[in-house]
Amino acid sequence: MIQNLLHDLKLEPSRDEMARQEFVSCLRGYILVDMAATMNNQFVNNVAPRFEQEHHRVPENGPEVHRAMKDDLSFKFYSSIRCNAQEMVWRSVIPVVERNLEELVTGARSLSADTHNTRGSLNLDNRLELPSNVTAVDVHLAPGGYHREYTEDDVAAGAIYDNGLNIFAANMMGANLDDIGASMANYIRLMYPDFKPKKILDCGCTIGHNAVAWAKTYPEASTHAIDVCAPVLRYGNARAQSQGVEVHFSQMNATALDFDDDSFDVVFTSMFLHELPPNDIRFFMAEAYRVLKPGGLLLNMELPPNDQMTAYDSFYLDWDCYYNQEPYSKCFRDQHYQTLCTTAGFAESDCVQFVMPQYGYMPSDDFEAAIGCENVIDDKVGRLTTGIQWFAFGAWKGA
Amino acid sequence: MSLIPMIPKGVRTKFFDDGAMDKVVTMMLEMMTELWVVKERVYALEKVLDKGGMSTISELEDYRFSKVETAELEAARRVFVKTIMRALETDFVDRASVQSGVDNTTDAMSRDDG
Repeated sequence: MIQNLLHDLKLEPSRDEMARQEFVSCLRGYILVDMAATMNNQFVNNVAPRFEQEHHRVPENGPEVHRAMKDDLSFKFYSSIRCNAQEMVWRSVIPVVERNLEELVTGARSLSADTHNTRGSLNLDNRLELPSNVTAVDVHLAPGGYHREYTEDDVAAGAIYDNGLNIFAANMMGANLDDIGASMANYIRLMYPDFKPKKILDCGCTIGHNAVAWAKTYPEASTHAIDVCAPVLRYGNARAQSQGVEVHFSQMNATALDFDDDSFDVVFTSMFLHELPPNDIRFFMAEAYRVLKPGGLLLNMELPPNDQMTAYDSFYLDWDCYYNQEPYSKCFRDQHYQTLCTTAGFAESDCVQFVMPQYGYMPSDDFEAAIGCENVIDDKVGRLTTGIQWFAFGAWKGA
Repeated sequence: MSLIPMIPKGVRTKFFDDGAMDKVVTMMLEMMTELWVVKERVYALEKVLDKGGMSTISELEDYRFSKVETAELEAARRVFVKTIMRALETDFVDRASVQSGVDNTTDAMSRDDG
């Protein structure tokens, strides 16, 4: 069952709209668990043996598995139905958002202005040039992307993302859709109990759901969140205000941060880097190094790299690059993550990599028991399925 | 005409040898969705009626729609058909005109393995 959004911008779909959303979410769960398992079995039992017979070796990488799977019916149905379900996520949400748009805009304005109890802030820069990777592609097959505006002070893209993610996640991303942020922040809190960040930055924050989780984990810190898209920032600011969590949102490009050198203790991203062109990733990493204080931490929650995965798992996670309008994701995952860090200035010995369980889905004792365990990247890491584990990499800036 | 677009930019990927199959899959999924919507609504209706102590079967069989209700149903039926048949329409919308923008962006990645 779709969970209720935990803030004042929550929408009230009609009975039929809700039934449609519930169905699409259920369908997504079926695709990601049942159909994915069927496709995997088909690869193991038929496609891989056929490949071995023809080539006298096993497939060596994701692209080889992709080519071998393309003609198999399990792949065709999995992919066709998954693309359709992705479209249907947005189609089940957009009419509800559009019908309530005026109230959403009014509500967001009101929440943003009410800084009596929660002193978050919103700074928009209407001169900021939007990068082409944002404007040319409707990432995630989301019509209109995350930047388009349809009315003054628009928040539609934020509302579509929030409600769409709630359906998309099929109850696997936390009660506040923040399990990535909550898992990362609490993993760091438990792993490094003496690390007390005073200033935290979320880059590519969209609606700030993960920034809120970090702000809750480190309430003494000042949490900042940036994105290039105004509608998601307006919505994120109002969402955080509604939840009583102080976050400072700014419209800014992560490749050219308008912050001082050595000013943050933590810079983090959540499923952000794989949407960036390769040069932008390098620019961002250099910027992260610049704005981090000595002793600060860069942490990127991401899809795991192809060089640490089996050929089949690489193929499985590359799917979104080819079919979900995420054109840079494979290119990113083909890179050596540690090299991205060292090229930006971090020392090799300061690089880190974590595989962590879901904070919101297990008893705290079990989560604590997983702290510092060996990082094993298996078929549960980085993908929405039962028993998912999150992957993160980054580096400490030398003191 | 809706304010917010319902169709993403770019050419819709075809997975089957015959593109007709891709459209049939879309239609089937929309049909499944709308059938579920009806099943859930009927279930809710039965529960509401049962709570009110009404004998649902004979009441439902004998009920006749008013003119207003008939018009509402006709409008809903048109939306129902349009939704399920949307796969036959989407490729004719302005996707071709935005494809060059998408292509320019995706050129940056290596696609020699597809």
